[in-house]
Amino acid sequence: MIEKKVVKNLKIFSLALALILIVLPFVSAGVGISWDKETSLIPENTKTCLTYKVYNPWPEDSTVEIALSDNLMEIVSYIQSESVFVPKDTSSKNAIPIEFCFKTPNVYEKDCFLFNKLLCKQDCIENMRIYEGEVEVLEVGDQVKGSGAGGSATAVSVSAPLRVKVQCVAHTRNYSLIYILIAVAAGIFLIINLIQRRKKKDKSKVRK
Amino acid sequence: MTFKFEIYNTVLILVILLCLFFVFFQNHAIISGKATSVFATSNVSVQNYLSIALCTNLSTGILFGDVATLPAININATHNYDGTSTGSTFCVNVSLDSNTAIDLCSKANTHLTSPSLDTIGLANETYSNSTSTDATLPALGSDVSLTTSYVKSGDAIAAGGLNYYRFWLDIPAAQPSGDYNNTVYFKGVTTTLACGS
Repeated sequence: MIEKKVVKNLKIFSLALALILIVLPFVSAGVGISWDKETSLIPENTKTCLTYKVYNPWPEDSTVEIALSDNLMEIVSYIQSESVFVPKDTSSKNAIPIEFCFKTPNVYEKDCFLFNKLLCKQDCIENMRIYEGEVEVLEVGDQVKGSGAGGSATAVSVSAPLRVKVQCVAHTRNYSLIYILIAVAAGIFLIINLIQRRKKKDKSKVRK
Repeated sequence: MTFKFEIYNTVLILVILLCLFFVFFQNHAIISGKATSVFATSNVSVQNYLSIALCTNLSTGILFGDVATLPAININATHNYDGTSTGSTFCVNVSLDSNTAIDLCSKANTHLTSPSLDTIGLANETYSNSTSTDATLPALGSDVSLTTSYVKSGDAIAAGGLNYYRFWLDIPAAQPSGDYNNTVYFKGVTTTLACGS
């Protein structure tokens, strides 16, 4: 009687285990991304930083890296590229922030008097430049998984869209440089005058 | 003569002062009509989050085993049919801790390449995908070749869902012997968005 009960319990246990194995396929380390901004309006020639969050709700630790798509790379001057360790069972609520910074380029035409760089004004008549791409979080734990016996290794990533709108800042021509040059020239003439005057005074004293 | 000097110097000093004033004015000009406004801030933050993981058999690689006879057509990858009801155990898992449906994208970095740089073209490495699996799904008849650009390989998979894959390989008759390898990437994106580069 007891033996029958044990066998029955074992059968139920085996069945439950089989069901769990069927329903929940084993998973490797995974990767997650959380974001709350898909568009960023940034003035040209300005450094800015954005924060994305990474998480890992899976039962294995993972190591991730953040990357930008090629079309965004052309405006990025710096990106934090160190690997970030994300412990297993890190939910989206406890996601780990990763910051990356970039500098928007000078993309709008300026009307300059000198050397295409000095005494410039900007009218902002062009259409707004928009760079569209994505922020990608790659799992880099075991990077190339697979055997050397032939076949394909596999890698996993997730991505979030990012649109960078580069804002044109209109300004009139700045004549400061010319004013400074005139002031410096006037200063030089003033000093020369004062020196000459002192010399003449000294000469007249000697004559007396 | 001294008087002339004084005038000359005074003019120069005036010019310097005037220039400094202009520089200041140009860079710090504040013209105000003394208009004022009162505002209240309204703020809402829309959060998106998604997470995926490869099933263990996919994370360990897509292997086709040893091939002794050429040409070989539609060689099955090792885990194409080793699941329940001869389903596939190659899969990508979308986490329940996601608040958006996910499209999956896949690509290969290059052709299958041997250490001596012989290649099996990517057109020969094909896959098929499905949100369920059995003896027929994912189906061989709907297989497509891997490419070096991301292509959608799973549409609108809900949080907690799975996307199954099967992989096949054709090897031409004159293929030099050797171990051929490449890397296949799986990427999760918010549904309806493009896969990107």
